[in-house]
Amino acid sequence: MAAKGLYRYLRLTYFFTAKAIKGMLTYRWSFLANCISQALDYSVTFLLMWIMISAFDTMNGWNAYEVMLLYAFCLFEYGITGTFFFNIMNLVPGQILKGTFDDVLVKPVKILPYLISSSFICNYIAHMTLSAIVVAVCMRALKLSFTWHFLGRAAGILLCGSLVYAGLFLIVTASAFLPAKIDALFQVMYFFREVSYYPISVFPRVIQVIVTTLVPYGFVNYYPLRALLGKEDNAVFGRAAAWGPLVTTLFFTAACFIFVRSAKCYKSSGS
Amino acid sequence: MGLFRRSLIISFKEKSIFRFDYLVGTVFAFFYIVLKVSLWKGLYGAGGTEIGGIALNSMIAYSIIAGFTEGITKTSVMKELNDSVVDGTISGHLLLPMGLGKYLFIRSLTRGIFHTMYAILPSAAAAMLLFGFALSIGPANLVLYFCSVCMGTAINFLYQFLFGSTVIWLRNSFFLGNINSVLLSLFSGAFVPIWFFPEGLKALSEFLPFRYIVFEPTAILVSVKSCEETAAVLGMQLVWVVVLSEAVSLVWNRGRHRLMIQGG
Repeated sequence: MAAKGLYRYLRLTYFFTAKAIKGMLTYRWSFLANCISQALDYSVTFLLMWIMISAFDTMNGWNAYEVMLLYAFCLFEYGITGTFFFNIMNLVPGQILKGTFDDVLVKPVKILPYLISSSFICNYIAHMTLSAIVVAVCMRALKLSFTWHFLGRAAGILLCGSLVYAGLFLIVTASAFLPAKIDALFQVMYFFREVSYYPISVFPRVIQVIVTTLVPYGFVNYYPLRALLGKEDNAVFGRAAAWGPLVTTLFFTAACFIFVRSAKCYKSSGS
Repeated sequence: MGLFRRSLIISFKEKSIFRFDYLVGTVFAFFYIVLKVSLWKGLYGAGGTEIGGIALNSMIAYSIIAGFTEGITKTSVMKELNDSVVDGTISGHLLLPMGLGKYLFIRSLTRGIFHTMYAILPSAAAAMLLFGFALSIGPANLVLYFCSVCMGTAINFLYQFLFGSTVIWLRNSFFLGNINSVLLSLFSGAFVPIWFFPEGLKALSEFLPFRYIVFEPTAILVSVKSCEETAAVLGMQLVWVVVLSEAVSLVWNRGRHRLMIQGG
């Protein structure tokens, strides 16, 4: 029964993905210009990071390439999540406000799997391409080789990180179902995302605790890469990497639960 | 002046409705300062020795003042212009009994004053208290900083208006927004001061207006410039204001005849 349900939503994802790609190809030059401009925007962040850290050699024991690797992983995971979840966060609050979310409720589908299936967008290809290039450059500079072991661990990091982002997107969206929408959650999400671009050991203890427990951005890149690169800095939770898969899975499950429960508070405001 | 006062009052009323959002904005503006200061502390390390002639204390002061200056000079005129051209609401703005540039400038300035009072001043003051302020700022520096910030605000507005006007031809506001973000974040010096740039980028920044928006006013206040250097900066800012004003007149006068307004 579960396999049949999964197959059904995978088929839906296939159709919506095909639709999104056709839509993108209709405006291909505009799409290309947007991708290039986005890639340029993120490249500047990489460049500024490199300029800043190169002037000092290291940031709390992390050199410029190691910090850029942190950011590249973060960006890749954001790209994966954005491809399937960004439109949920972007469109659903507006649908709730106008009352057009009714359209989703009258369909013979479960809300969350349907939203994930139908929200595919191609726009994050620039994020993923750029971060893959930067990962390759950094690995070359750090003399790391692409072994099967490394690729397996990298895939695990990307999966866990994407779950954290997806969980945050869902929690922010869920707040739109509540009577008082909490816009501040956007700020929380984007501020701590920026914190995760750097080794979190440079931040005050309170921020380190928050990004390990409440908003688990630490598991997106810092803790797993710290273990992978064998770094020994003064992080508060130095041995947290081993908890990564459990923490991220629990966080995503809790976020799904919050989303589904919040969706029950929806009151149509349409005609 | 009456028009400006009325616009200021409306802007205050408009923003005070969303006072909780502003409170959150203030808190996070402070957190961003904490983030920047933590990064610089991480870079300087425990010893905190001078790098390139800049000590950690000066760098902390730079981060706080740069955040403050960025907040004052900030404008969303490009986004507003882009959005209004793309969705056609510019037609309403063109019917106003004043030029579009003047209208957008007054609106941008009033929003800037509100933003500075409610979001920027409290967060900068809290950061100064938390991290201490090791700089002695003389009245002359303050006056020169004020002049420089005024011209920085004008440069940012004119550049964004000029760049935003190209949406009439390009019709892609997302692309323009990203390119604008690239140029500003790289060359304004708001995050990484131009002192640390490699020679090539530093030389390139001399020919662009962006360093005169945040970096140069901030450098004037943290007293790393001599009198001659300060005068040269103010002179260059004036030159950029004149050049950009002329460019805006030229581009806008041509662009408005090509304006295509959708809807009916």
